[in-house]
Order: sequence, then structure tokens, then C-alpha cells
Amino acid sequence: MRIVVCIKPVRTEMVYKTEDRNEKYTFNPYDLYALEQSLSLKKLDDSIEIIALSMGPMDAQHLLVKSLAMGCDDGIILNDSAFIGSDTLATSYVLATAIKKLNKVDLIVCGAKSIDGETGQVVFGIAERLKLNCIQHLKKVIGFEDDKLILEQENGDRRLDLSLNLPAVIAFKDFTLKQPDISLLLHKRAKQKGIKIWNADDIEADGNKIGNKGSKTKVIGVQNIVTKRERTIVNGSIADKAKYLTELLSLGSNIKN
Amino acid sequence: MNIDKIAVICDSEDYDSQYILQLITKARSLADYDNSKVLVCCVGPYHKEKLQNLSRFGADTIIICERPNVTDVWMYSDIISEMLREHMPDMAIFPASDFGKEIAAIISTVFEAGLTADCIDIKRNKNNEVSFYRAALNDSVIAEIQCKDSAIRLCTVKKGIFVESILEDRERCNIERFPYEITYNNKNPVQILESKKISNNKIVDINKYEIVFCVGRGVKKVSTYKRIEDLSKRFGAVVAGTRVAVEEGFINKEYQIGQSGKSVSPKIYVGFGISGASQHIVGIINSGIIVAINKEENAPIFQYADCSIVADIDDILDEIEKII
Repeated sequence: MRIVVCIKPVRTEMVYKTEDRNEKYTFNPYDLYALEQSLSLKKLDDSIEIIALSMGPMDAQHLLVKSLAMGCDDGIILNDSAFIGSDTLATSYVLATAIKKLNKVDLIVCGAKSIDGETGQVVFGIAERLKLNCIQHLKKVIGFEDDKLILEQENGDRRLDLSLNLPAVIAFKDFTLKQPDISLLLHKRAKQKGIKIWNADDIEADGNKIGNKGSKTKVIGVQNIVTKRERTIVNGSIADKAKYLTELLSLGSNIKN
Repeated sequence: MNIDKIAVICDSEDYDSQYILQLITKARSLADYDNSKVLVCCVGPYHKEKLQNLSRFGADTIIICERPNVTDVWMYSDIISEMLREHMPDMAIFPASDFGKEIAAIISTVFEAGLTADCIDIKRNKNNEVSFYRAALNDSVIAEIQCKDSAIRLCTVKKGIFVESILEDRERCNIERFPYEITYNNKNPVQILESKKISNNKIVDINKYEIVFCVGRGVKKVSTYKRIEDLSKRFGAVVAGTRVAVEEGFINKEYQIGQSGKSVSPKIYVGFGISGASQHIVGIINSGIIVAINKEENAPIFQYADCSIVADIDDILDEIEKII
């Protein structure tokens, strides 16, 4: 069985705000959770092949090395200046195109969303492009039963046990901020094994569908949280302030349709 | 590119839910900018009164595919895709419910169209462009996003951001049945093996309260919380809270307001001991009157509040209790 885990490298400072870490990029916490869940499957069946896949800058390749050290069979970084500026549409295109190149993938695993973009749109984008079914909000994989994947999903106030035919795309719900503990030896072996670097040509990507070019949304600007209002500072004694508030609330609670 | 038609895509549940009415109201106001039309796309059983309700809130044309209980995202997306292909709106607004976000993501891919997630505002400008606004959590800013080279502009909008409002003198609008032949075939349906209810709490809708009290880091004692709760009952308010309040155990996650919690737009919002970290502000941005009570003069929330009350929460509760 071949599993691809999609990992987004995110800026370390976004995840660990108060700490000083020497790596510029770290695992998107939702993807790290998904990766760990996938690796736990290997314990059920050693023949399962897990490939870590990331679209990102070369600064982030250490994450793929870490994925190898954690137990993945392969690590691939999709790196090309043409990928830069990809929105969710272009991103799902790049990832889906790379997955098609891999052949005979049984399961694609993603995190719920990224901690920087937070759209959660890429998962279904990949599924649509690959014409595969897709299940989100998963807590964990329970196991296998005759080529079907048994999953636990939590949605709203229900916990569901689901049976899913493969191939398919799945996304886990949770995240983890706990970085994996990797021994130096395993790390060294992973480095020696090496990761693959694929560019746009390697995956035969259509230049019009990647990066800035392939993006259909653009950020025009950012502004600080918005429309500051006309401020009234309620002065006076505490009793005055309490009176003001009580009157306002009395007025407000009488406003009925 | 001209905007002639704005579509609102209904959720798989009640197509005249408060949430959808909020979206229709917004679509109407965007359409009124230059006499564009509002198209509402529904999938579900044909209920004349419900459909006419959509008209009262601003729909010009309503199309309904009469299929009960479509819960499969792929079939739903296929139906909506056909509706979009036939009616060609320039823009489509989806609810940012779990289901809404999934179908929006699928449709964005099918049409190779730009999709902005979790919008907290939508504006049209003089160049006939549409700007979508969403909060970028970590940067504590609002990003303005536009589509480019996109035949249709898509967005998902958070619940409780816009306020629904009935229009006067609306003519009955056009209601069309949309025929759909099932060409889509899900060869890989998911089987539910077991289903368990995990919490006994009813699904909470804080949006229906006109007054919202919100508890933040400044509320430290259980007794203080209880007093706020008592006060809320007197005024028919609901007590919600920030992430900190959830972590402290004062309120349930269902009552969390903020970027990753819910959004509200009540007539009156009162923040008790809320510092005003931007993630929370995003959740209350369209409230009528924002009142903030905090003992720290420099709390960021005072920059966004209509009424600033610098006071210790317990002291002010003492005084309020004397009055009432």
C-alpha cells in the first residue's frame, strides 16, 4: 500500500511565537499530526510505503529529511521558482500533478488546514483533481478491513466509525505542536539516504496552472484590524459607569422585532 | 469585468436558514450597487413559503433542484456546477459551514476559479472589482483579496458576519425548478459503521441573541463569572467567551467567539475583562454597539469599542447589582 502525506512548510515564527528556533521553516502543525497518524499505520503493516511530499523552498528540505528519519520511506520536495506565489488552486494543482507522477497511490493524507493560510481548501482541491473521494475531520485511523480503511471521525456532536474504499484522500482534524524526537543516528541515516527534489518539468506541470500565473486570487493589501469606532469613554465614578451600562442594557433588551 | 449576477449557494440543510438569509441580504446590497441580479441556488424539497421568504430578503431569481437529502458533497457540487454553468453568475457566495466550504473548494477546482475562504466582508469598488476581506490569523490583520482571470469569483462567508434584513415592497420573484439528471455516480460511497453522540449539549446558536456578554482573561473568579451569568439572564443575553475563558472552564467551546470560534453581530456586545487581541475582535466586528469593561486603561479593545469603561469587573458588578 502506498501512502502520500502532504506537508506544508510554514514559518517557524508563526508556530512558535515566543521561542527562538534556528530553523526558518517547520511542519504545519496539522500536517505533523497527519504524518504521525500515517506513520502509526506502518506499525499495523510494515509493508506500507509512506512518502512525504512538500511544495516549498529549499530552506524547508530539512522537513523532508526529518520525515525520513521519522519513518517515511521517501521524501520529495517540489521546488521551482515557478511554484512561487501559488494560491490554493495552484497548490492543489501542483500537489495533484506530483501525486499522479507517483503512480498507484492508495491513500493521500493531509492536515485539516495550514496555520498560515487557514483556508482548508487544498484537500478537496486535490481530491477533485484526482477524482477521488475525500473524508475530513478524522480523529484517527482504526485499521484495515479487506482493503477498506476504518476511520474515526468527529463532526459536531457525533463520533462516527467510517469504512472507506481506497484509493481516497483523507484529512485529520487535529494538530500537534510537539516536535518529533529524532535520534541523531536516524537523522544521519536519513540525510545519507537523501530526499528527492522535483521541479515543474519533473512533474510535467502546465506552466499556466502553477505559481502566480496559475493563481486566481491575489492579495491586494493587508490592513490592521479595521474601522475603529467613535469612542465614548464613560467617565465618572464607578456608580456612574454602572448606571450607564445598566441603562444601555435596559434599552437594548427592549429592542425586539 | 461586469458584475451582472450574484449567486448565493444554499447549504444542504434548510435553504432559508438565518445564515442563508444573511448571505442573501449581503448579495442584495452588493447587487444594488449597479442593478445586478441576485440568484439563489437551492437543493432540497420544494416549500413554497420558504422559497418566497428568500425573495423577501432580496432574491431576484430562485432555482431549486428538487432532490431530498443530498448529503453527498460530490453530487451536491455537481448539481451546483450545472446551475452555475447554465446561469453564469459573476460571483457566488457560499456559507462557510463544513459542507459549504467543501463544495466551494470542489467548485473552485472544477471551474478553476478564485475562492476566498471565511470572508468577513465583501465590497465592490468603482473599477467594478470585488474585494473579499478575511482575517489572517497570525498577522492579526485583515487581508483584502481579489480574483484575477477568474470567470467566477467565489467566496465562503462566516456565519453571523452579515445581518439579515427583510426588504419592503419586494415583488414576488421568479422561482424555477432546476432539472437534474444524475450523471454523477459515486462509486465509492463511505459507509457509516457506527454513530455515537458525544456530547449532551444542544447545538448552540449565539447568533439569535441581541445582547451578547463576553468573558475574557480579566474574569478570574468563578463567583465573578456567576454574577455575569445572573446579569445576562436579567437582560436576555447569552454569555460567550474568548479562548481563554474556554480553557479556564467557564464556558463551553460552543460559546467561543473569535477567529477560530464563532462570529456574532448582536445589537449590543459587552466584553468583560476582554483585552482585545485581534482574533477576538474579528468575531465581533459587525456588532451594533461594542461596550468594553476592563481595568487596564490601555487594553487594545478600547480602540475598537464604542463605549469604554475602565473599571474592575467586580466593582462594576457590585454597583450594577445595587441599581437593579
